[in-house]
Amino acid sequence: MNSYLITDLDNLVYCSLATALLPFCAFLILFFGGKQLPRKGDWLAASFIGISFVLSVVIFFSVWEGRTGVASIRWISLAGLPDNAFTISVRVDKLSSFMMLTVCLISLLVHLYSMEYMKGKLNYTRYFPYLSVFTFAMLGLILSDNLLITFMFWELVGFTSYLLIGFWFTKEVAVKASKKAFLFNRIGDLGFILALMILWSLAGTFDLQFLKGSIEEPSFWVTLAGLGIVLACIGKSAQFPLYVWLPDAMEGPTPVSALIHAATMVAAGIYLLAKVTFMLGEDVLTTIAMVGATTMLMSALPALFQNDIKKVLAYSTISQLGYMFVGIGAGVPEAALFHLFTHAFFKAGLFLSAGAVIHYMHEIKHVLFHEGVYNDFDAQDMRFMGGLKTKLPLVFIVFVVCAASLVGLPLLSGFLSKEAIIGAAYNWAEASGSAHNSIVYYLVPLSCFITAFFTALYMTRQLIMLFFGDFRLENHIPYLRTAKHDHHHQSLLISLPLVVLCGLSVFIPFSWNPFSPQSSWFIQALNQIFESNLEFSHGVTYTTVALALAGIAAGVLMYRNKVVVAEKEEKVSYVTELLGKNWYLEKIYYHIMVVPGFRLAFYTTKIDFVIDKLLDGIAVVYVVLSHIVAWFDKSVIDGLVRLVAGIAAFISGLFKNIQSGRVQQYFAYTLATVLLLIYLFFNWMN
Amino acid sequence: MIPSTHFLIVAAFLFAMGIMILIVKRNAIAALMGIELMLNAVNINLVVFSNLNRQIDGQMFVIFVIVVAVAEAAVGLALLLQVYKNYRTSDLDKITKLKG
Repeated sequence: MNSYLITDLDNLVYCSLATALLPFCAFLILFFGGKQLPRKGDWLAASFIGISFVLSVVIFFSVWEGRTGVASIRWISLAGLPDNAFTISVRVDKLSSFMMLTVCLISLLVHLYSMEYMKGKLNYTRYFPYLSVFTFAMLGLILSDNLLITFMFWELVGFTSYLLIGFWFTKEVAVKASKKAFLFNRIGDLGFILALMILWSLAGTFDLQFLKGSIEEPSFWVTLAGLGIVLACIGKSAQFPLYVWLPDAMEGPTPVSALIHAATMVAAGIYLLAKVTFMLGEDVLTTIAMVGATTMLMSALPALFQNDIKKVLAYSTISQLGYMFVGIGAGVPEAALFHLFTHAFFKAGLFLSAGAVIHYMHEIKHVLFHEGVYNDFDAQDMRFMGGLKTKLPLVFIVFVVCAASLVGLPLLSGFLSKEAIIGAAYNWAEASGSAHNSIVYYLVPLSCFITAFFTALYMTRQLIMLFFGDFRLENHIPYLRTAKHDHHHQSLLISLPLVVLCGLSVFIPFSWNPFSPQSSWFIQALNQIFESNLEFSHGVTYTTVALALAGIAAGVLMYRNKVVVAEKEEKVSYVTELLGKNWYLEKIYYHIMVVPGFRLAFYTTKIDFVIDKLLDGIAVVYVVLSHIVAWFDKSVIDGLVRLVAGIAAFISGLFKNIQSGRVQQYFAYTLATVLLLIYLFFNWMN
Repeated sequence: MIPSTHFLIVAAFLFAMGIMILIVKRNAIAALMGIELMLNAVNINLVVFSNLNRQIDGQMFVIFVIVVAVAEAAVGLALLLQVYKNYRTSDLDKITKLKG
């Protein structure tokens, strides 16, 4: 009956490789020949991703039947090292196939969306190759079963993220943001490299299937390696203390934010942690949970005070990634992965809706420009929005559904996954708390509860600011009231991804029972791998939902009639200042890292100056010495030589005039000599 | 009969003249002529002593000397011609290639 599924394991591996390499082909074609193609080749990138998506669906269903494709080839063989030291290995199992599906689907939707969103933008040619190569790197990262190869793709993913954040490279902010993202990821990558080195010296291989066998009992070094990987994931998945790069990364194009900085790349950390759970000891897991709990609360609060439409979503992403960290840390990776899965869709939906709103604002700007009213307002500032409910009805519906999913209301996908995580966190706190006789562990579920409340609050605030009330741009530019600017029509390329993502934000695709995460096919299938406890108490669920509803109610009460004015800064309270500036984390980092760095550099230059002076002095001494030596050489030694030569020249000068070259003189000498000889001869004879 | 001493005096005079010419004259041809003169002086001596000894071989030798002198003059002139070709002069003071 399942004849369309791939049953041969080799074919499974080949298909997954094809899935990963198709976007790479698209990248190569577009990068080197994109300018020649019609429409700059965007259709080519989208169709390649489309094929990848179809393949990934087939792979997904094949794998979900219970198959696992593993392939491993030797990469480098060195004398004295075992055969499995350097391998290139691919593993297609439930974990990787669902990630592939997520990445391909969202990448496809983002490609389609971008064809409309990025139309006519600067550097359109360059945009799609970047997206393709990102998809390739992400798929490679997912498929690889070798930590070294994973690390390479990890870097590649970070690099493409850097390229896309700085896509509008004429904007200074974007360039700075891309550099910041890259540098903060570097800190995390340091942890990855350390972990790789430790694992190499412990096990002599990077291949996960061999590592699994060779790491038995948790030792200090294994814990350290685990912490290294956690640091890498903290960097990539934007957790405290390295999360400050993600809000700035919103300078990239909005579809990119949806794909990379909400749905896929930032989830790579969670995925990696889930893959290496076998080597994460109890201490490491506790660290992960604590980091996640800190992050989710720390980033949920600033989200309340952002005015940039995308920054709210960015902080919300960080917060949700914190939930996933807690899920991993609580020892229930399937809950974390489930949240990753659902979050990818509803957060991409939110970002793409936000993109549609921004697109609309941009269009107004264009129309105004053509009508002669130039006004360079910030198209992402929520203080200029409002009342968009009637203007963008579809976007409104999608946004509401996705936001409700994010808040965790029942009947939606976010509810299922969030409940699973909070339930797991509560169970974990109970177990660890009683084992260690400490209530510190209860801070983690507490943080989850509080964050659930604030999530509802900031999403309500954003919803009200975007879609309800008056269209505040009209207060800013009164001309708009009279002008007709309702000739906006939603392109199918924009609405289709929105509808798809909206559909994936409700409970039906994930579970038939909207109230029980345990009954979700996804969790059940993954539970066969991780085999963790999935019995969650109902009290937790009720509390969370009650808190979410309370958050919504509070949000409606607080923000319903609030008048927001963009130009005039109302007198800012201390809390607003603190949270609006993201806890002054940037400032703290500046004072902790940058200022001492500069100071160190300053003192180093001072020391350098002293060293320079010393070197100068030595050089001067050398010069003086060499002058003396040169004088000695020239006058004494050369003089002696010249004296010898002079003597020789003097002696030769005495005789050289004989050789005058005149034959007659020679003859005269000869004659004289002969006469002398004759004279002597006769004298001698007598 | 003229005594042999006169011939010898003439020959010595000629020989001295040849040496003088060879040393003093700047022109290479003149110097060659000096050499010829010396040769002839020697010839006279040969003839004189052959006459004194009443033997013919001295005079025979003179014939050979004259023949060789002819060849030598030819070679000498040919050399001079080549020298002139190369140096564009026959002034012996200017041909000082042998100067060390």
